[in-house]
Amino acid sequence: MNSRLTLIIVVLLVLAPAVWVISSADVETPAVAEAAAEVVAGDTAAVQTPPAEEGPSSLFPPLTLKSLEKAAEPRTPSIHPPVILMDEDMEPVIRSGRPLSLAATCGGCHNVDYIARNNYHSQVGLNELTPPGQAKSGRAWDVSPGMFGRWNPLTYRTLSPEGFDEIDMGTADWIMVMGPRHVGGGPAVTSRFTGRPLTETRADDPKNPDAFVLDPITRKPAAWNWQESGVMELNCLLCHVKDPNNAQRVAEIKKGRFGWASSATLLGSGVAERDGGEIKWSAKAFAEDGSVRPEYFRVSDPRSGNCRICHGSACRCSDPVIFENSLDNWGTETTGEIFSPDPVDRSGMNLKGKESLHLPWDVHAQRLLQCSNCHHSMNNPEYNEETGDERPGHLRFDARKLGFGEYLETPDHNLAKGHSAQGTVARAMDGSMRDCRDCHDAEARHDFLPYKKLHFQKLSCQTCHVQRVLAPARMSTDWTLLDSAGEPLVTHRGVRGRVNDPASIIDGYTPVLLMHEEDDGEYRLGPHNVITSWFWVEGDPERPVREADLKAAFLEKDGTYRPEYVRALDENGDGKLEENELRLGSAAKVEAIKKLLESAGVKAPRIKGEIQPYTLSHGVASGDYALHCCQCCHGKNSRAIQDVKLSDYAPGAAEPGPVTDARILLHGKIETGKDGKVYCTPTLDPGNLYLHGTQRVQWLDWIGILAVIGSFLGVAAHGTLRFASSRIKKAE
Amino acid sequence: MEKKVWFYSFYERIWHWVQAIAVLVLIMSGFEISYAGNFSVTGFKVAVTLHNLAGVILVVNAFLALFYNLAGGLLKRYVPGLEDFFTLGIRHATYYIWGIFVGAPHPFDKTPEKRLLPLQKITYFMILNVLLPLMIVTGALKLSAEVNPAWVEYFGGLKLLGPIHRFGAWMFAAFLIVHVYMITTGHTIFSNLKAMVLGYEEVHLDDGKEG
Repeated sequence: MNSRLTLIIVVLLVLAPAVWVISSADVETPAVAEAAAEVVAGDTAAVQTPPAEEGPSSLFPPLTLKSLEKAAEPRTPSIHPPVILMDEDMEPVIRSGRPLSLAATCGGCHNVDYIARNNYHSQVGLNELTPPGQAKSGRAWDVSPGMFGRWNPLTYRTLSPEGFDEIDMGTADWIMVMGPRHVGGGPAVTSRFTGRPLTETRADDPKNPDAFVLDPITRKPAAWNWQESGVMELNCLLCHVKDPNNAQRVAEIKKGRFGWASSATLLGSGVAERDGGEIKWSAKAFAEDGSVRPEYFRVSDPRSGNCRICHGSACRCSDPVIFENSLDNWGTETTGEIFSPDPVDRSGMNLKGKESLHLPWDVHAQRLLQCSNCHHSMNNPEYNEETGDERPGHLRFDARKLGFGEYLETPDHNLAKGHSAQGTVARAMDGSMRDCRDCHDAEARHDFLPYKKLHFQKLSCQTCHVQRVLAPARMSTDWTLLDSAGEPLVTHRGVRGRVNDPASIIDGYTPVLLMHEEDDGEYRLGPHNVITSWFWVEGDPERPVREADLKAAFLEKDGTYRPEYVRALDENGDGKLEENELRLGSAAKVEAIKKLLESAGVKAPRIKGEIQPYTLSHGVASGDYALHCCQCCHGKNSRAIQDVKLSDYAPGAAEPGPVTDARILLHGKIETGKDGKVYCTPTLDPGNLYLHGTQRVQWLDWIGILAVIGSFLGVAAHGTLRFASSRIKKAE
Repeated sequence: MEKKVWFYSFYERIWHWVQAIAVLVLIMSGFEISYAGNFSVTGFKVAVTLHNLAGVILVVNAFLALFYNLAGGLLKRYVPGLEDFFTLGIRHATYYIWGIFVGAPHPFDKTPEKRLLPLQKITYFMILNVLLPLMIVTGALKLSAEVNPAWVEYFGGLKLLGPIHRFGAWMFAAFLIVHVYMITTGHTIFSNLKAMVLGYEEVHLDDGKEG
């Protein structure tokens, strides 16, 4: 008996790895291999561990096994024809050794000019430029609604206009600062002033921000050589190959080697490798005709992993989710959203009550949706299906369809877009994506909810389905002072302790509910994070004080604090600046810092505060974890009127105001509480939303209350008199 | 002389108590909806369901009563005449302001045909023609949001209907307090209540009263 048992155990021990090896090997059909690749990539990873009762596969939970060792890369060839990587002169790079030009490479089959023009990810405001002060943000220094021209207090530096007084960010500066989150093309290739290639720019006009950059040492303009740097072409690879090497791409951008950015994306794939500081093409990856061997180069539809490169790299996916709050992880930093299929309770983060959070970070990610399933190309025949409302009434079927060939030649890269307060670029595209209700029949569910239609009309689905954000998000950015690293003072909500400190407990936050205008003109209540920023402005028309001036005023050349800066802020006189001293909490400190700025050449500095709402659209919970509590909105403690902490303090007692291009109704009081913190108490405009139990017409209510009290007192008095008179009569 | 007089038919009594319960439920649940977070008996969601249910019952019952009174030719008993606003009304009011305390005889004899006294007629006339329709219309419009929110918007939206409906509720509550108190002003404290339960009342008939 014992020997039989031993035999069974030995057989099992031998077979188990074998089964796993077989399951991981390349014996799958291409579809299975693709799916396996996705599991490794993580987009489907959470590809649920089958429940134990489902059979033998539960003995080997695929995620766990896959996590032990990265599965072999699928080497099945792509259906994409072989690609000859070419330089800008249409020479195969393997022969010329020059930087890859994707316009030349992809342009043979795809209309790259059309793609670049119809692409707000590339244009980022270049095609929506306005004169300074006329942008919808209301800022005097903004020149567009996009990343190219719309100032962002998180990244801070300002795109210098033509004829600038003092340069802050020339076009080449812009690429170096914003390029890591820009796909290329648009303003990274074309002059905003001439519409001609930036390579034609000559440094003959010292007031031309295309031709000059800021010298951070002298704080003066320095000429930029576009011939040497090249331009940053629209980088197709960033979205259309799996695992593009973004770190190397960013490294090239930051070095000002824009022309090599696309090439750097292929480092690590075997197609290119770094040789010293240079990028060399690997002969082994190329066929005789100069095309890349398919096993080294797989062109594919954009996957969520591609989008995460710029929008938030929260998900490592083959591991439990771990993330860091930083501007490199933009989406999570600004909203706390994490688009990952992984279960929250298996996260690697120090989340409060993690063991009870049996939900995925995002239910749509868990259900295998990719970003591009919702944010698809507008003329993709796969998605471009007219609904009944859009189809001409007399047609049952509209046969006029774009063929796949036509689509592949001219794919519209203006990707379908939702509604968000922060998505200010290409507002004309707002609402172009299918929203929740286009896919889900909300009325078929939600049986618990009275007045479904009214709720669906007045609330965004996320109001209940993003009832809590599980990750921290930025709360405030204070550029009025700099810390010892030369960075602004940043606070987060949703974390107890320092953000990114493994010892800090992440407890998440309850989003503020704000009325947001959607493309049908309706305002709907939806969840938001609000980020408040404090900064110095100078001049008339005003503009933010340059980061270089802040550094010159506050820091020595070696990056340490200037003694004057320490003296201005050091409250306890110990010669050091502690965290609680790094804030402009008194008029004396404000004056002292003003003087420092003026000594660095800043003219009439004053403090300004600004509130930027960020709409929460991801991190969606399924119905089981959605808000079911009526009184969370209806009642005196309604979320819709809850105080929102904007900042731990108000530098120089400045009052922040909301940006004007967020399509948000932010009514309410903004005031500093007794605890010194700045709060916003939202009020609802009953013209847009009337919440039973929360809103009332006070004077009308009082008339009613007085009528009831009057009636009660009247009958009480009458009854008492009746009682008294009857006693008297009895006595008589 | 005491006489047992039947005032209320079985249907009328059932109708009355159904309305009474519906109004009570409406006021309680309405209060819970309006002051969620301050006052809770059933919880918000149950309160909404109860409120809607009681509202529908009240309206159906009201229309049944309208039909009953129309078919029975009884409607005129609810319509005050001009004298009810002036001479009779003043006499009635004077009784409650003064006579009731000094033991003066009630100025009117209640009969099955003229069961509503002048001030009652005026009060019910206002309630049935102003307050109740106002509550029914605003309530029904609010309820219609379940079917089509556009209808609510067409009539000014919840921002208008909500406060009006709530003001009406306060008025109903005020009426209810006085109504309950007035029950005690019969021959005995409970004689009116007894009549609405049993259907008859022991009426004391005196010469010289107007009925």
